[in-house]
Amino acid sequence: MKRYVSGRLLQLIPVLFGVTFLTFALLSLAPGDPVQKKLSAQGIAVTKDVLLETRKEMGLDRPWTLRYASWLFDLLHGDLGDSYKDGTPVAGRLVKAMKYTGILAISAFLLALVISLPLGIYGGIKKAGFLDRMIQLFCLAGYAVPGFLLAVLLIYLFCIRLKVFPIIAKGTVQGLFLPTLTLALPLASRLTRQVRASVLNQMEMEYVDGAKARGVLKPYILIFHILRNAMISILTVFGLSIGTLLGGSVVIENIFMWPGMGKMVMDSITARDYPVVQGFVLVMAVIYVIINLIVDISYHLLDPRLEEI
Amino acid sequence: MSESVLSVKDLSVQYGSHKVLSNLSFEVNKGEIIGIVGESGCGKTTLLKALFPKRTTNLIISSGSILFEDQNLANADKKKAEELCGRGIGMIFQNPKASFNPIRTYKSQYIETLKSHGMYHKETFESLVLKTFERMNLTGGRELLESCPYEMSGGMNQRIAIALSILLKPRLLLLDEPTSALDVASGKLVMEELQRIRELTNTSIILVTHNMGLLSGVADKVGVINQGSLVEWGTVHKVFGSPEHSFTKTLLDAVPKLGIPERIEEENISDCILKLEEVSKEYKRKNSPFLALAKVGMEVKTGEILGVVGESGSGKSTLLNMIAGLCSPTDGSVIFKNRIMEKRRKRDDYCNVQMVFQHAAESFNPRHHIRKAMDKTLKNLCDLKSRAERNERINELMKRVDLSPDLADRYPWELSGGQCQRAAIARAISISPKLLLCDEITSALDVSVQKEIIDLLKKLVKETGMSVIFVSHDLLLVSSFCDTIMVLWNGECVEAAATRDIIKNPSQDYTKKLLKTARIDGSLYIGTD
Repeated sequence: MKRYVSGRLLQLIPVLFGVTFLTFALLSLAPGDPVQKKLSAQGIAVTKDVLLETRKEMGLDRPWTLRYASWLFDLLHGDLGDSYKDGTPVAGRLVKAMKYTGILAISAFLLALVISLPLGIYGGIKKAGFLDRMIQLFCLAGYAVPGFLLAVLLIYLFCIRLKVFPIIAKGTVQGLFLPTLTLALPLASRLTRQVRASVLNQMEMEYVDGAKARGVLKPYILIFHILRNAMISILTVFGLSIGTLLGGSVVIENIFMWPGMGKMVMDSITARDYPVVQGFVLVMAVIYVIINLIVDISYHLLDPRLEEI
Repeated sequence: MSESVLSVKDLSVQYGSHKVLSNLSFEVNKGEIIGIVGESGCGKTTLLKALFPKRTTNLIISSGSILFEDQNLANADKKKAEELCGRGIGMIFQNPKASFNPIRTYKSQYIETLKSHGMYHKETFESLVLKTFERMNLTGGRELLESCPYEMSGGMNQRIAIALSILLKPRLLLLDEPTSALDVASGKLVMEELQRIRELTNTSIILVTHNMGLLSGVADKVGVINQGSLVEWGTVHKVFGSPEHSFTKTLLDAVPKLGIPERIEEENISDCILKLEEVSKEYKRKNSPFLALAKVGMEVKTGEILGVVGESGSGKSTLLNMIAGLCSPTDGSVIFKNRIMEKRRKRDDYCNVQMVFQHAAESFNPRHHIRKAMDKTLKNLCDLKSRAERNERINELMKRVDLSPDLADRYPWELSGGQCQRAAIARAISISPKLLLCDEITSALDVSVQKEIIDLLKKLVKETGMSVIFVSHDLLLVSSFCDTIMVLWNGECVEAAATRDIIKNPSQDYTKKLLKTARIDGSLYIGTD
């Protein structure tokens, strides 16, 4: 087990190298000039001399491969660099934004879980009943409606019509509700589908008939047989959905002005604030790999048929 | 012994509008073992499903009554009837893996079952279970309890399921082909368990099976079902000894008998077609390598039918796969007509050696018609370029295996097991192979269909002069038509000789043991001869 985990963590090195290199290359090759953006944002008249001088000051006159190398060198010394825009350390900004994104992602995930588990299990057990059809309709709608549209609809309903929540969230508890709901609903529909399908699949297994034939009570069959075995496939989707949540929050955070990583990275891209984008990509890659690792390990804990790791 | 436990009167059962059973009446007394036999599709499994209190929704009892201890199960309240599951009426399924959740320990599943019936006492649980295991000769009690079903063989699973039903002490135990997925030795153990249950708990048992040899050893009474009706009912002695109904007679005739095939062995057997020289096959395992075959040598002559017999895990299938080129030997060589067959097979090799598999339906692509499957073989290996020519050939082949050519336009799952196996044989012989490999091709079929397939093989060998290697776990069956027999045990060749020599004077202890088991299986028929 220890060897497996350390092996997987070692895989992080090539993954992170590849991801940061690609981002760096793409950002550098894309049109747009961070210096020009920075200067015009500060209201300084942009002349050629000023541009060249500032570029030299910021080290942007060197070729991007060299810049990547020095960024990597700094990273290995625990330094993520400073923001082009205001010179603050990237690490500090990331930590602050991560806190907000974390709150949003966790609350959305929990809400999705609370919605999808009971709905999925019920739909699986009472297949093709009236409620099951309603559940399927919900799933379909959740799939079909894009997040940004849902956000706008929710804003219209709760902020403009009912006037119960603020439009701009700004990191307050009250403002958390709408972005959470916007993120949770599509996710819940996806998870519900998966839970329902897994439960249905397990219900058809012969061992369930075997347990019924032995006269095992229904709650035991549901919890220890059907759910226990369905959990294995449900888990993957749950794990992967955390990744989607973090990615999906980029759009939602911008709509609701939630001060998380998504909003930060969008602002940074517009401002060509490369160090911040690099830091964001790095953190996301680490989170993805670790979540996948946790999912894989829990697989082995849930299904003894898989070989010892 | 005469107290009635189950009394079935004029029972008719249908699936939707399709009538499966009509007007069945019989009685089961306390402590009796009843055997139900019949061809597949005759409704014997449906009978068990109807008797079991928890029914599938599409099964309808259209008339009659099922009286279980004064309670009519035919129209009982669903909830009340379901309370009978387990303690009143127990059921063991055909698929040994079906009884338990594969990834939870036996212990947890034993506990929840006992808890559901209010029979779980923490202090006495383990000693009670271990005592039961001991009585059933299940070794490794505590370890066994802590292991998961996926780690165990089918036979072991079936026995542990039976052990649990002993703990529950049902008044009636229903078993649906409990041994069909097991090899002979495990099947016998399961049968012994059944007799032990009766001795210990005086449980009545209804056993559905197509293995009449095993049945004759344990059952008190036998019922014969043909096309949904009970055509014969009586003691084993009466039904098997002096059958009255013509269907019972054909069924009994189809059971292979221990004996020497009529064909004169030396007749058209001449040159050696296939030779194995000390082939071994080792599978790499994590801890220790597993030797599936150890230095096995054999020779097959033109026109010879060679039977390979052994228990499951003896290396029979590995041997065939190696000859067919599906896996390569770790050591030794496979020589076909004086030429070593390489790991990478040539087109000629495929034309010379063809294989038929145990599960015929699975050996066809489920999305292709039989015709398309055969068409591909003809096109790729026979150089028949025109479609009309190929179609004509397919029709001819279908007729040769006694199938109507129309059946070629069906999907494999639309055919019965026997029909599908015939189609598989037709496909294999379409390119006129010199050697046909048969891997347990009849073990999933019932006896009457088995006989038809064997007759077909014999006919084809006579017509084409090809050689056949027939792998089976059934020594009786093999001895009934093979020229020579090879006995495999743990990957080693124990004995190989002409059928007559093997039957009359086997030289090895293991062969003698196999023969003894086979004789007991066939004793009924030998006794009445």
